[in-house]
Amino acid sequence: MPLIDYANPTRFMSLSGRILPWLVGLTMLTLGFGLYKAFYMAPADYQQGETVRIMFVHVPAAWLAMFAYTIIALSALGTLVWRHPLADVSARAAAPLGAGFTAIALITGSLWGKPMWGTWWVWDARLTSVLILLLMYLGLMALQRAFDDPAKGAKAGAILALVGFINVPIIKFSVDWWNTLHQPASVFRFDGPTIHSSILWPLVVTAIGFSLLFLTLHMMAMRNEVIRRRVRALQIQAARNVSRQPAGQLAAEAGKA
Amino acid sequence: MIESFTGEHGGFILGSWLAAVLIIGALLAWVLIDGRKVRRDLAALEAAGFRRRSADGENDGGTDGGAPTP
Repeated sequence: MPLIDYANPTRFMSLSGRILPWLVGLTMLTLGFGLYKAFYMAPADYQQGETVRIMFVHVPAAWLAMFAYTIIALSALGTLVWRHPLADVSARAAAPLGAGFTAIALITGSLWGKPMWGTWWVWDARLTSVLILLLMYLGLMALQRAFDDPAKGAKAGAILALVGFINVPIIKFSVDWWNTLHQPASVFRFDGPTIHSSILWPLVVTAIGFSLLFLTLHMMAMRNEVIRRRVRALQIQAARNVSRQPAGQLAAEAGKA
Repeated sequence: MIESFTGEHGGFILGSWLAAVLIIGALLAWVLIDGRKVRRDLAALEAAGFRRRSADGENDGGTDGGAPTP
């Protein structure tokens, strides 16, 4: 069976129902192992001391904030180009999750910045562009829900998502393009990571754990969204049935009530 | 682990992880509560006799909102 066939909502429900318990288990194992490595195996940083523990949640959250928006942008293409029913489902499910991980990145970054930089916040390019990402998520969620017709909401949301995607490379390269208080990239670099392996590996494991958590929540939220659409279709059908009933029958039923 | 939270900057470290736990907990609660609500709505409609054509032979909670049949 071609891979695209699995994108059918019915097959998605069947397949995701089978995958989900395994994904939950794998997420718990990986995240648990990652947290163990982050708190018990990784040493304190020679400059930042124990505050390096914040990195194990801040960095994965920041990566997932951008990853979630990338998923939304790809879903937007699926909505606008192929009109695939699962594309909008994916975008709607990912937006609140992306907003949540962006909020975690901003809050933990602020809590890390105060002891290391001496300030909770600066309006530098990295911090400001991530704040804009959070506002994009909130705007996207509001727009998706602003239409009575989900199809119109999907189209408007997809256009906004694609326009807003320009912010993702800006976030990534902001530390290279502008002079920022935020440090440059230290993991994904052309010349390799600059973090010592004793801290890098716990970071990689926690990042995989948080990514699995995101995928689990995304799959669960997508399943909810698919069922919501089925409920809506049945509600419309129920409303049509009521409107087709003869006025006398409706009056009689009302009288009984 | 304890010394991470009780050291000089322990409050910042604890606050960071607490914020992450709270936000992830809220996301998890949203997914679970929302899932329970939509499944309850679906069950109510199906109990009233409304079913989609494509739901025949399917027992997994919901799909694509295909044409329903009363």
